[in-house]
Amino acid sequence: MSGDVIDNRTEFHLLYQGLTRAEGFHLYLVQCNNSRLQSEIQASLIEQLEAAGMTVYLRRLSEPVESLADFLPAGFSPKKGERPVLMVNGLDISFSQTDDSQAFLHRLNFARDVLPKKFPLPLVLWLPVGAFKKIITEAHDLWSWRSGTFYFSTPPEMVQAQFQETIAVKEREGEKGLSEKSYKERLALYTGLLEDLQTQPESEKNRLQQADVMQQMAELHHKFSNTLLPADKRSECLEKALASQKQALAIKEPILGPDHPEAAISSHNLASIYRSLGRLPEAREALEKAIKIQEKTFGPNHPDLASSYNDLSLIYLGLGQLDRALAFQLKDVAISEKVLGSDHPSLASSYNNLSLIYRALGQLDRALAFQLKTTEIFEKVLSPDHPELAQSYNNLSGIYQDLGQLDLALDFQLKTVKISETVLDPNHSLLALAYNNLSLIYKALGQLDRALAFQLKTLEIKEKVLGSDHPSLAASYNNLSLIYRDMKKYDPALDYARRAVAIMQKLFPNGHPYLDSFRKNLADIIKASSKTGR
Amino acid sequence: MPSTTEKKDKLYRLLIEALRNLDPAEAIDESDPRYVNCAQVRGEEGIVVTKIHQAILRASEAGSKPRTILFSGHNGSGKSTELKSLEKELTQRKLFTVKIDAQEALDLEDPYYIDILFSIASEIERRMRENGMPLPQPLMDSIKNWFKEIEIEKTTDADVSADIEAGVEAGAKIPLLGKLFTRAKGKLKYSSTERKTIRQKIEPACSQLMGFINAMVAEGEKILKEKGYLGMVIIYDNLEKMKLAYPGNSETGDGRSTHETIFIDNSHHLAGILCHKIYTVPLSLLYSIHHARLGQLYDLPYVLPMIKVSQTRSRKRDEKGIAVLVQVAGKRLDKDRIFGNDDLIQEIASFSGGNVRDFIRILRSLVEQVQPEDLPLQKKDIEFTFRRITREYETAPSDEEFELLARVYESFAISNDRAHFRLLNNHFILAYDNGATWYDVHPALQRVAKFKAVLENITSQGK
Repeated sequence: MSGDVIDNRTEFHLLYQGLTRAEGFHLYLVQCNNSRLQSEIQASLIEQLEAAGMTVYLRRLSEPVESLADFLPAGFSPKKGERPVLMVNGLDISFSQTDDSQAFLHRLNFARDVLPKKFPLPLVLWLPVGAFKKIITEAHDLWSWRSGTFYFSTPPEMVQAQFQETIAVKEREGEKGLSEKSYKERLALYTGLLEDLQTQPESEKNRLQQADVMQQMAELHHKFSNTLLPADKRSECLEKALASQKQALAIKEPILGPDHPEAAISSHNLASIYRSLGRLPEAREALEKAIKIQEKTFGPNHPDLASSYNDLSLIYLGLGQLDRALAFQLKDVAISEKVLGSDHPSLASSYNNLSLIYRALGQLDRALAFQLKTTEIFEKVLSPDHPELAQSYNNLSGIYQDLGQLDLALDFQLKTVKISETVLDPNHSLLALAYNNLSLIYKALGQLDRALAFQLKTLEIKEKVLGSDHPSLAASYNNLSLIYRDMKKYDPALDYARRAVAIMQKLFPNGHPYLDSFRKNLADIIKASSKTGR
Repeated sequence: MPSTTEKKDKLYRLLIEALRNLDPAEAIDESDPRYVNCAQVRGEEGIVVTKIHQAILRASEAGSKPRTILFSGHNGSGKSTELKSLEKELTQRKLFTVKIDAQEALDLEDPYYIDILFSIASEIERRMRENGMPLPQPLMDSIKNWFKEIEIEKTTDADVSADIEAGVEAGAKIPLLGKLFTRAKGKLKYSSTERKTIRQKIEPACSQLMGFINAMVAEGEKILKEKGYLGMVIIYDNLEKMKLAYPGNSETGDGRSTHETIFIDNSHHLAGILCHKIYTVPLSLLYSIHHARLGQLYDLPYVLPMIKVSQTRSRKRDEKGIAVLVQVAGKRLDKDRIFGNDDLIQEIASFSGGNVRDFIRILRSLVEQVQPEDLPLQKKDIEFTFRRITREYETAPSDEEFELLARVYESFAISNDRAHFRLLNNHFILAYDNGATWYDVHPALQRVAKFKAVLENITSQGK
């Protein structure tokens, strides 16, 4: 036991032994510099204490308290035959509020008269790093009648190791969809990591590590925002991503310099977030900045540069500047074909985007050619129910619809739906989209029952997750009205057509093509229904 | 022949028994079998309690002016124990003690002399009443009226009728004034807004409050003398725990600390109560620039120094002081079975710097750690514990403080400034007495690498 080494293990053992041998009120103070380590130690300690026949009561403070004695439950008397221990967590909150921590500390000083009466049992206070120093200075009375002090710490190398571990976890998770549970877990992990880093001594290295964690958090928020959330929630999430990424960039840039490749990555991420937020001009600006650095640093054939070209192309596509979109996408493809294998998924993505642009330009043959190339690669390298494959099938279906080849369109859309149902959350936007497209193909094919069924499925999802005045909802109502009209069921057709117009009226001004078209549809249905004398 | 497990069990129980007696937070008094009189080894000043009670006795017997004594010492030096002793001694010598605990009576975060005076008045009334010697009704009535006049406490009709119905039976019911005192006291302690109001009302009428208090004391002592007492002594404990703050331009104004405001600026109130009084005060105040002034305002302040475990300037062990601490240990645990011999205990005594609480804590730590089969404790066990404790001193002082400490180490003296007072307060510097006060850096702190480095730096620079 009294070896030469004083480390977490010995401290643990000493704390354990102290607690098992203590009777009546005793104050034990523990300082731990890492919240994850603290949780692990507590869990282990509780397990061992309970195995030794003791009862552990764990209390967590969730807000700053004025007085410890008041916070802890009154008259905490142990039950007969019980050997209790009371542990208190969360005091870091009370310590960190600089205004009130003084008062809190001063009051701690008087606790000696109150605490032992209220709690005639060992009391363990788990404190953040720096707490001891404060207590020694501001609450010396409390300090002087402690029965024991213990230190647990994570050495800096371990913090780094933890960080590497979280990155590895992320890579392993790969392209799987992000569930809310995973999101929250990973966010908690990153937050904890950030807090740990913040307790380490200040240094450039430390700040860069913090910036890295913030960047990871931004990516996490961004990724999570892509699952179908109500629009306001999605924006909220994206704003978090934006804030985090901006913060990371703000730290990195001055330390690394404005031409550092890492600044390029951060800018690139920033651009993606802006894009998701629909703030395309800002996205373009951030991305052009990243590209400038990358062109300087990497030379003309770097995959990172290709990736940036790709994203810039999509931004231009969003801005409606198709020529520029095409130009940059071609640049991307040129590099990707050179440096990636011919079956590389990234290359496939580039082909996919090229196809989109060609389709927007109305060049359907080229659109089809590239979409087929995409599909070919994905079928080779991805699992058969990979979402990206589903997306590719969806695009193919769309092109075939445009080309009027409805059977093929149907085939591919069914494939899309099948995969989407397998891998996506039942309320995912892409699933809603897949159902919608399927519905429209069935309608075009005259299979109205099926068209109706799938449109109702779409609606079900949309009604669940969108606000009641969402244009997408209006579109579904409109589609339903069209299907019912084809079925010659004019009552529901009218009903849905009216609902569609009602929403659109709120969102768009008179003369807007969306509004006009829905109104026209309503008018047509009214006319058609009157013809049949209803 | 006891089996090994039986032996082990026995030893284990020894350890548990020892732990029962090693609670650093416990304050014991003379009657406790574990009590060891440390007076002799605290230095000349050490025989403090005796000095205090002699002073009081003499004054009482001679009928001379009542004494106001300031009493202080480090945390864990045994102040409360000594005061308990004192209270007993005084009572035995027929002095009626009114003991007040600042922690109960005041809000120590916002201390003010008015609150202190008020609590004294309240306690005198209560103590006299509870001991079957209630203060005379006319006096109580005039105080009641005064309350009403300055609107501290309004007597409601309900109060009055309850009072009438109850009659004022000493000891059986609490008289109206007692209730009023308690209510006002509660307001002063717990409500910061009420506190302000009450203080504002009393302050201009403070001389009246003093008048009433002294009237209570005078009447009280009359009654006490009839019952065979020599007089009244107020013992106000734990005042040193009051917050040291510099409220700036609030009520106290011009950068005076709370301590200075109470003990210096309002000394005439504290000292003006006409019976013997003992107030505990913060150590840093006694060692401040006001030291001389305090000597003028009050009867010579007494400080309970650390037990002298080393000698000035040589830092050689002081055998007497160490022997006393060994005695303390001996009364709390089975020395022979747990330590084998006294050498290790002496080391611990030395390491503790003479602070009894720290000494007990170190003993506790050792007893907690050791396995029964590893008894008796060894030197390596002691060293291990010392190393653990040294950590507590490693990061606490700032860079400037390390420098200050190094200089104190060299000179055995401190400067009268806030920085040093903080260090005294934190026990980084300890005070000793051998006819004059001298100071040293806490032995645990002396082992800290950074301290040694700074010290070397200073000595090599030739100061």
